[in-house]
Amino acid sequence: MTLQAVLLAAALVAFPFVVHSSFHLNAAILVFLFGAVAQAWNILGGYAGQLSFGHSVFFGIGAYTSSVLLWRYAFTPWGGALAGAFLAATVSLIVGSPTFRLRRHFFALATLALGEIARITFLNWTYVGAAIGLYLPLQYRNIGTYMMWDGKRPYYMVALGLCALAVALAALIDRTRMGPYLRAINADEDAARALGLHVLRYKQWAIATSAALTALAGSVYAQYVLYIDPYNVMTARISLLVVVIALIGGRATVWGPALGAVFIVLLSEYSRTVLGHLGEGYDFIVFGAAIMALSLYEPRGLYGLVRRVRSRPLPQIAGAAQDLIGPPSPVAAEAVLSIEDISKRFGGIAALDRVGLSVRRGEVVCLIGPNGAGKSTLFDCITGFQRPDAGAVRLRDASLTGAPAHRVALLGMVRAFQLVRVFSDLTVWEHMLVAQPHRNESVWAALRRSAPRVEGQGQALLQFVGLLDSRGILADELSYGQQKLLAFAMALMSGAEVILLDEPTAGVSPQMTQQLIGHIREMNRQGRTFVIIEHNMAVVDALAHRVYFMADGHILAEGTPEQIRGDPQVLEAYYGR
Amino acid sequence: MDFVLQAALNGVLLGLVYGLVALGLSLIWGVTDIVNLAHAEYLMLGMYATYWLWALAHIDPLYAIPLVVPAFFLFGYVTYRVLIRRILSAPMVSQIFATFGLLFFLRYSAFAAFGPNVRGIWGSRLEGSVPLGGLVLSLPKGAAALAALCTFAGLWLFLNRTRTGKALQATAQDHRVAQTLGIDTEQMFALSWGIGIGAVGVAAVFLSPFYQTSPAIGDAFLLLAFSSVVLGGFGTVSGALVGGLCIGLVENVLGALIAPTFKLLFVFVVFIAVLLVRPAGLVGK
Amino acid sequence: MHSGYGTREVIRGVSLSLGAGEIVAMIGPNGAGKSTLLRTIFGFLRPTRGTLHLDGESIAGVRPHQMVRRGIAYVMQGHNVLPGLSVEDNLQLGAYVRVDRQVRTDLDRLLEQFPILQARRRQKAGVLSGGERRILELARVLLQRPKVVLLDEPTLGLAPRMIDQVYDVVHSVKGAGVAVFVVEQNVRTALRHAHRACVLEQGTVRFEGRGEEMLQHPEVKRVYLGG
Repeated sequence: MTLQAVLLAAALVAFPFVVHSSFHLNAAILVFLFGAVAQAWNILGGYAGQLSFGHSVFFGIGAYTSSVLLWRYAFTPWGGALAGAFLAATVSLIVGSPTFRLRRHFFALATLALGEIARITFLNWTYVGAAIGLYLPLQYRNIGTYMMWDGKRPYYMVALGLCALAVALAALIDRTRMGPYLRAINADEDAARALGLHVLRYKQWAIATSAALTALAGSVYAQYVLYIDPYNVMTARISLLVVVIALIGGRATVWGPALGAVFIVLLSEYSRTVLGHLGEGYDFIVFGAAIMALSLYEPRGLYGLVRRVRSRPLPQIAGAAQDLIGPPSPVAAEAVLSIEDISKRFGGIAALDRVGLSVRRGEVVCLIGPNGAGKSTLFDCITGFQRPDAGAVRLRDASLTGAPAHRVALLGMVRAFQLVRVFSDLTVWEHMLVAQPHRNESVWAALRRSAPRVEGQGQALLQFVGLLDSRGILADELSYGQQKLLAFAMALMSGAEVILLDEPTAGVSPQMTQQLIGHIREMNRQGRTFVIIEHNMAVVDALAHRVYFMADGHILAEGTPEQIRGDPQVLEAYYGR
Repeated sequence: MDFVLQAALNGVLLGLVYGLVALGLSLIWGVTDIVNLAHAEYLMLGMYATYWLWALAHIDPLYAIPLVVPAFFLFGYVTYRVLIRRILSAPMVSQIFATFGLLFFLRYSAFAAFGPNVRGIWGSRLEGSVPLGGLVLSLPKGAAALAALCTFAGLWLFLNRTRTGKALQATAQDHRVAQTLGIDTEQMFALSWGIGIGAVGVAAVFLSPFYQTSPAIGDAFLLLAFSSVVLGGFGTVSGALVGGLCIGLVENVLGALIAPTFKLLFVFVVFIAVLLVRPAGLVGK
Repeated sequence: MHSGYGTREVIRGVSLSLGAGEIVAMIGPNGAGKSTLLRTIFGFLRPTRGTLHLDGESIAGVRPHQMVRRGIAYVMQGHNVLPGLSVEDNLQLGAYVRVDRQVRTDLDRLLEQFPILQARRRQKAGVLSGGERRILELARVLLQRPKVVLLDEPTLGLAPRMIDQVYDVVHSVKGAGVAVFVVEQNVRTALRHAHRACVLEQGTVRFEGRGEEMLQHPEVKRVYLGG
């Protein structure tokens, strides 16, 4: 890989010294600039999954900021570009934070609307030239510190540098923890929260970085074309073009958008010379059809088609496998988790009515009861997925009442879901990386590889559940039972003290049920606490220290499995009067 | 003050047309759960169809209705069968890409076929204006509003008074339950696309006499349609009507009061405000 | 029959038969596959193996909405009414596939039989309580004039009085010569009303039996409570 990269770099750097045609250099510059913007878009739209149809705003902010600073204040565009990047990042945070929670369509439409709002505003804002536009003052040409030259070669170098920066950033994201984190958030936000990821912070990082990079490209573009107006740099056309490039090239891939830019920009430029203005029409018809086809068959775009040919090697693991065998740990006397008087109503119906239970450290507590008893709702209420109307939850000495989902995970309680949730497009190994403990981990820290100790732990846990050889496979392709094992391994990976499992053996073959029982028992022996919702009484008998029986939102009985079996209220609840 | 009332009148007339476009969008979304990003491109193509019938065959827009509307019903039906049917159970991202690709495909087909120039009809039978109280009622706008109202009424009757219409509503509310009643939901999906795009066809024909078309008008109309839908609440005929009226009024009255060049900006600001404040059905994955 | 979701096999070899005018109950703990079985019979799921016959004719592979025309009515677990349509519209949709001329008289008769529906006929079905919705759903089934009725936990979340009312309607359905297959979680209710019952656990039928004898059977206890 490195040799290929060096050769590619050398070829690209040598290109403008070998080729002198203005037309080809211009095409190359546009490829690099739009490639950079597409890569930037990809950070937000491809990796993090927030599809933006309004990136023209950031492009325009970059172009206008550096140009206005140059025109009105003789401020160097090198600095102006940075100022533009900073401004774009700020705007993106203001705009993004409240809109992230919208469904994807509406986020896209909101960004489209914002793009149009920006365009109309700039069209009428005389300070920046309004509809007349802005002619960059030409007296700064050929003074290196003003990013303005006569010939195309210096622009080529700047644009190449920017594109290289964008690709390098994408590579950094892809190869460190940030990639799996963003893609997990993209695939299933709630499941990511349940593992302790602060989803909002990561999305904010993604949009700010994306905006800043796009703005830099806008500044360089302005310096290159020497005339900007809202139609050229702040139009929906640019926003949509960038989306097309990223989609056709391949979302959430390192080289995809750059590949897309090469393909699309070159095709546009060359078809325009051959077919005149019509060229612009015909090639976009093809792109439109291509995107429709890709949406049906190959969501990874051109890059995906290329990748299909080469098989993915098993990921290397840096750390040594840790020893999972530990000394047995007795059940403690004090409670590690205590739930008091949790109540929750939905409309007129009380799903939970003053439910309380406590779990001692090292116990396995099972929660059983008929359909609609409120068991999963209870889990939702204590893990921050639902807000209880009343009641309190404590984990050791920390209060969890009302805490958001990711905080509950960070404090040491992690849940697996009833219908197993795995992240589409992530491999088994990447799941383990996403599940690692996130306490004291800042967003920027995610731009590093996981610690060897962490990787060793992941390896050991995969070995433990028998998925080590499958670590390169996409979780989507595992069998249902294997996915349940993966979810279990992820819960263990998080280092959580209390693990909540919701029907872990539902839909799983009898053999795998035995496996799961064995794993839970072993982990419990080493001191992990489990609270398990189960319907399979054989599992309850095999694992539970204590059982709580719930029906109609109430706890009706508590005791050992034997005691529960003999309890008349339990019999009545199942059998009826 | 008079000019504000005039703007309000125009806003109401145009708003009814926006509502009609929004109705198509809302119907498609309600029944098939697909957000049709390419919706406004159909409007653009409908206007081109009307234009070319006028320019080449000298058919007045008024008489173009029986040609354009059934053609667009078919257009919607075919779109469903060829593309949409395959992405019904695909992840949302794939659905977005599919309709986005469709947007591009349609827009640039028009661009390649018709060129970038703006086209306008003149001399149609619906020209001119009449005085109304102290205000001026533009005839083409009035006719458009009337056509929109008639279409609204017709669709309301269809949905609420016919067996098929109720089956369509049933499919929109719960397509599983609809199947347990023997309703062929596949046919209902296709029908909703046919009606949705057909409604756009009506709007297109009646917009042509007073609105110019070009391949690029899709962006603005898409946001106008969506603004109407989110404002009025999607899923009901009256919702689209009310939403459209509100957007028409916001655009024209605020435009008259503050500045005409910012007309659309007000609409877009309202759109984003509604998305943030009233996100029922718009939030979450 | 074998059926499931993707790689997850839920129904592992179930064989059943239903006769006209019979009520057969299926009981068993959650996750056993009862709903999955009903979905497979109706055509929402494709069986991986097995056969399905109605009146001697194979109905394997028939699409769900066509099952209705063949004579199978299905009341799913949870919500079956269309909340935005009126009670009368909901009811009338029960006759969607009927082509005969007696729909109107049947409809009037049903409204007479169920005064609560008559009283609320113009209201949106969304305002009905849980028990009222069930009555509406069962009345709709009657209007369908099916040969087979599949009921998935019809008494879930209902008060005891409503449960009796619901089963009154079920009996009148059976009285018309219809075969009723009902999934119940409440053992006693199931065994009181059904001619025979079978117990589903982990996707297979453990055993079948009649009424009271099942109630005392230690296997039934084990399936629900372990031990």
